[in-house]
Order: sequence, then C-alpha cells, then structure tokens
Amino acid sequence: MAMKLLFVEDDHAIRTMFSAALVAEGYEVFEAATGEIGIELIDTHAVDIAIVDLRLPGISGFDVVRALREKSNIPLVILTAQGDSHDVVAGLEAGADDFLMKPIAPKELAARLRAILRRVNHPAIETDKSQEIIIGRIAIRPTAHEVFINDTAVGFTRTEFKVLVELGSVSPDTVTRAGLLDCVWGYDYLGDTRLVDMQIYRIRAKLEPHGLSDKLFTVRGVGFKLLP
Amino acid sequence: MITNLTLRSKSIAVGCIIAIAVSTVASSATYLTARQYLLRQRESVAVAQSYVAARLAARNLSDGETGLDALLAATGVLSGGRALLQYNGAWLVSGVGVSETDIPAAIRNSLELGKPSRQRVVIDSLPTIFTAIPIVEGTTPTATFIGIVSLQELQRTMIALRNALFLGSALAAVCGGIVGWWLARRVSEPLRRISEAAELISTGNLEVRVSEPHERDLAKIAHSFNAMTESLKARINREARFAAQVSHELRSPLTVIRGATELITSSRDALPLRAQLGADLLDERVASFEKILTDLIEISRYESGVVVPDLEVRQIEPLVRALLAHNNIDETLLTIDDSARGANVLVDVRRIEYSIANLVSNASLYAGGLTGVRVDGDDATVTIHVDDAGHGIHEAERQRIFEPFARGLQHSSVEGSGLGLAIVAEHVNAMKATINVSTSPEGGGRFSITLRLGEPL
Repeated sequence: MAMKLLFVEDDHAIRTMFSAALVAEGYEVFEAATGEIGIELIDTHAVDIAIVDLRLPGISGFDVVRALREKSNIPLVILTAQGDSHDVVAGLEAGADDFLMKPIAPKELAARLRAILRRVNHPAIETDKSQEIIIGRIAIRPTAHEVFINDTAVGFTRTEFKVLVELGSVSPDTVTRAGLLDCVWGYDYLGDTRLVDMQIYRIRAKLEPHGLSDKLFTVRGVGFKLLP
Repeated sequence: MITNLTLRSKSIAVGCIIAIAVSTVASSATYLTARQYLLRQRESVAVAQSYVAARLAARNLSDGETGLDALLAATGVLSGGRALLQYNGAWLVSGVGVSETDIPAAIRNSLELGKPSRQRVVIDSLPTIFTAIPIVEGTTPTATFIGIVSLQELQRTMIALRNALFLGSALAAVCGGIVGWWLARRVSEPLRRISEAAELISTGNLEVRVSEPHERDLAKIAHSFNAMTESLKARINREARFAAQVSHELRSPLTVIRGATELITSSRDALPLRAQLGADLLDERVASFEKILTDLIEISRYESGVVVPDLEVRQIEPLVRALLAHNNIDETLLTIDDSARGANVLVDVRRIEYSIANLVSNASLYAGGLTGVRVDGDDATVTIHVDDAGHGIHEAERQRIFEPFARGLQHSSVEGSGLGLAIVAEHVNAMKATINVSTSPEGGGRFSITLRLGEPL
C-alpha cells in the first residue's frame, strides 16, 4: 500500500517538483499551499508522514506543526533554510521529529523519508522486539504501538514510541545518543543530538504525571537508560 | 621641537606663559605705583615733622636753652628720627650713626644760600630723608636744623609688598598652567575617546558610540562621528542583508531547478540524444552552482554577524571516523595518536563537517591528493591535521588563502566557489578553534584544526 504523505509548502514550483519526485518514489502525496489546508487535510486523510515548510504565509509553520501534533502521532518533518538554527530548535519544540535543510534534492528527501518511516512504523521488524516489554510499571507492546503506565494507556508519538522501545529492550543498560540517532532516525555520528534530547524531554514529560520521570535517567557523557 | 609636543603640554605652557606675563605686568605696575605713592606720603610726613622739630628747636634756643638740649627736645618730635643742629658754628648730633659728613652736597649748597631743602639719600642701604631748615631770628640766621628720617619702615613694607606680588605672580602662573591643562583636557579627552572608538571600529566593532561632551564644538564632532558610524553600520548591514536576501531568493528557484534536473536525468534514457547531452550539462553545472550559492549564503551570514554556532561536546574518535566516512575517505589514512584517544571536543557538527570536507576536497583538487588525516592532542586541545601531496603553501600566502576568492581566477577551471577556505576560517573561529597551515612530515601541505576539549553532557 502506498505511503500517504502530506506536503505543506507555499512555493508552487517546489511543491509540484517534490510531489512529482515523491509520486515517482511510490508515495501518495497530498499537497497543501497553506498551513490551514494542511491542517484540514490531516483530518480527512490518514497520512503516514507530513513535511512542513516553516516559512508559510498565513499561520506559521511552527503553528502548523503544533496543530498537526495535537491531531496525530505520525512523524513530522520540518523544512528549514540552512543555518537557521533557532528555526530548528523552535520546530522541534513545536513537535517535529526531524528536520531537513533547504536546498535539498528530491532523492535525498526521499531517502530520508524512507529511513524515518521504516524505522518508526515498524519498530519490531529489525530486531526481535515484538515481545511485550515490561519495565517496572511501564508496559510497552511493540506490535500494537501501545504503552501502558500503571495499566493506563498513554499516547506516544511514533518517534517517542520507537525511542522508548530501544530504551526498554536493553533496560537497565544504557543506550548512547549516537545509538538512538542511528536506530530511530538512521543518522550516523554526525546526526543532530538535539533530536534525541528533545524526544527524551517529551517522554519524561509523559512519565512525570505518573511519578516516573526519574526512571528515564541521563548517563552523563554517554546516553540514557530506562530503569525499572 | 614645539610641534612634537602634545596638545596638553602646549596648552599648559601657553597657560603658564600668559599667566606669568599678565601677572608680571600687573604686579610691576602695582609695585611701582604703590612705592611712588608711599614714598611721597612718607616724605611729606618726614618734612612736616622736621619743620615742627625745627620750630621747637628755634623756640628752645630763643628761650636760652643750650644747643644740645634744644636738639634733643626737637628730635623727640621726629618719631625715631635723628637730627643735626648747627649752632654757634659747631654741629651737634642727636645720636650715634650719623654725623655732619653725611649731609649731601646739594643740601650744603642750598644751606649756604640760606634756603631750606630736602633730599633722599641712601645711608647704610636705607633710604633716608634729609630736611634742612635754616633757623632765623629776625633776619639773622642763628642755626641750621637738619631732620634725618629713615624710611626703614617703608622699605620693609615695600619688601613685603614685593614678596606678596611675587608670590601672587607665581600662583597665577601655576593657576594658568592648571587652567591650560584643564582646557586641554576638556578638548583632548573627547578627542581621545573618539580616536579610541575609531580604532575599535577599524577592528570591525560597529556598535561603538562616543558620548557627546558639553562643549558645543566638541559635541558637534562627537555627533558627526556617531552619525558616521551609524550610517557605516547601516550600510554594511544593508549590503549584508542584500546579499542574504539575494541568496535566499535564488535558493527557491535553484531548489526547483535541481529537482527538475533530477526528474529529467532520472528518465535520461527515454530522451533523444541531444536532450540527453543537455540534461548531462545541466546536471553537472547545477551541482556547482548550488555549491557556490550555499557558500555565498554562508559567508553573507558571517558578514552580517548573525552567526551563533551550535556548540556541543563530541568524542573525537567516532567524530573523525564519521567525517571521513561522509567524504568517502579510506580509514587507513587515519592515524589517531594516543594523546587524543578518548578525548571529548567542543564542536559545531555542521561546521566541522563542512571544514573537513573542504580541506580533504582541496587536498585532492589542488594538492595532488590526501596523504593522511592525523589526530593528536594535549592537555587542553585536540588537533586534526589534514595532509596533502602538494608543495605546501608558501609562508607569505598562508594568511591570504583564508580570504574570499584568494585562489583568484587562474583556478576557475576547477570546481569551487572560491569561498571555501574563507568559510572554513569563519567556522573554525565561530567554534573558538584555530586553523594553521604548515608542512606535513612528508613535506606536503598541512592544514591543522585545533579544537578545544569539552566536558560531556
């Protein structure tokens, strides 16, 4: 089945060109020229991934990311101009899972999307992680994409879920930042560690109401571990 | 020699000279006028006293007293003065220290003519007034009285006045110097601040402003200076913004051109032969155009001063291995010294990635190929050396090569924006690291980036 992709970009030529390239890669692409259209489309179509250009007329890319994140747990990728570091940080804070720098070639874009979708949507495929993982009061069911804390279902985004699975499957051992970057995002050592730190921050925020935020422990200079 | 003096010394000197001149003229005039007036005053008092004394002596003589008694009684009137009395052909003296031989010749002459006279002479370095009065009984001259009044008191007063005036002049000179120094300071202080600000501006700091002094003329200079700096800054910012704007505007169409080129080349085989040739040329040129544009955007961001690096702590070993892998460089070329093993460095990953990519690509494009990447360290730093097989870079050229377009047009046949090393230098600087050019152990060129050690998170 074709992956459904939402592409929010105001520049007609860029939108058309990337759409053509992504359709050729086998995606079903929903184009949105404004943030408003993008937010509408996510209600009517079950998309698997969304790409949002941050510089949009009308409501800003950051607000679009925030609105999409409220409605959906799919991977959100932002497009930003190279060097605009504050845009990256603000975009990740708004709820994006990854970022791409413009200018980017269609082939690069397609490759990145493939890497994200494969890892995030099928956390159980690559290794034998289909078994339910129970760490203290946290139960993770990889095949069903479900997390129970104190027997209550808690919503995690695809990326948060994948990070949690990685941490849970080796608990109480430590997973390095580089390790998480590799197995969740498909980046090597040069990947941006802010991606990891932001997801850890979000997961902690979700553990906090259950009094478990200190179970997700930072190992200084190495990475993170999930304690029972 | 005068021209070599500072404004301040000149002002002090001028202030002193003017003060000395004015006070000397004023004191001299005061001294001379006062002296003249006091002398005349004292003289007339002395003359009047002498007349009173002479009259007393005349009355006593006519009362039949002896010459000496008459003289002594009369001398009492002269308040500390002395007197001579010529009576019965002999000179009588009222006290020691004076005798008839002291009588000035002019007085003698006028006495011979039977006329009263007076004269100021100096006796024992004291001005003294002689007042000679013939005493006449009826029409017969019977005696001659000479009152001798010393002006010692006046002399003392004059010395005191002279000292006071001299002290005043000296004080005025000092004050003149101080005023000169103060005036010079008021002028030179703002000028000094302006010159310091100008120096700061020449080093690229356009935020410097000078405070405006109270003096209107100086305030005007300071105001003009600030206005000049402001317009300079505005102009530089405008140019930087313009470059950034142009680059951004070019980026969108370029993204489309590059994507479209990819779409065309992906179905290259379906194209007619001539279109295939066009597609190949397009594909080749778009890539280098994109590199130039990206570099232009990067350098314009540095020029407009908006760069804030994303510094983070990374382990040197996996970092360098990943950098080499990104540039498809064989790991056998890498040597990591024990001094650097396990070290953590402070880097901006994107910037170090660009820098190493640029250095290794330069090595193969311009310097006969990469011969090795060596990493070593010390207590505070880790250095990545990129060695090539070229002839190295001449000492004189080593600074210049980091300037934009330093390679010049002779290399235009080779792919590159001409901005690469300039951007590397900026990147390295932004990471608070350093870059050096030297000679590799094999005699080729060597570029070394020295990174600071960092504490891991």
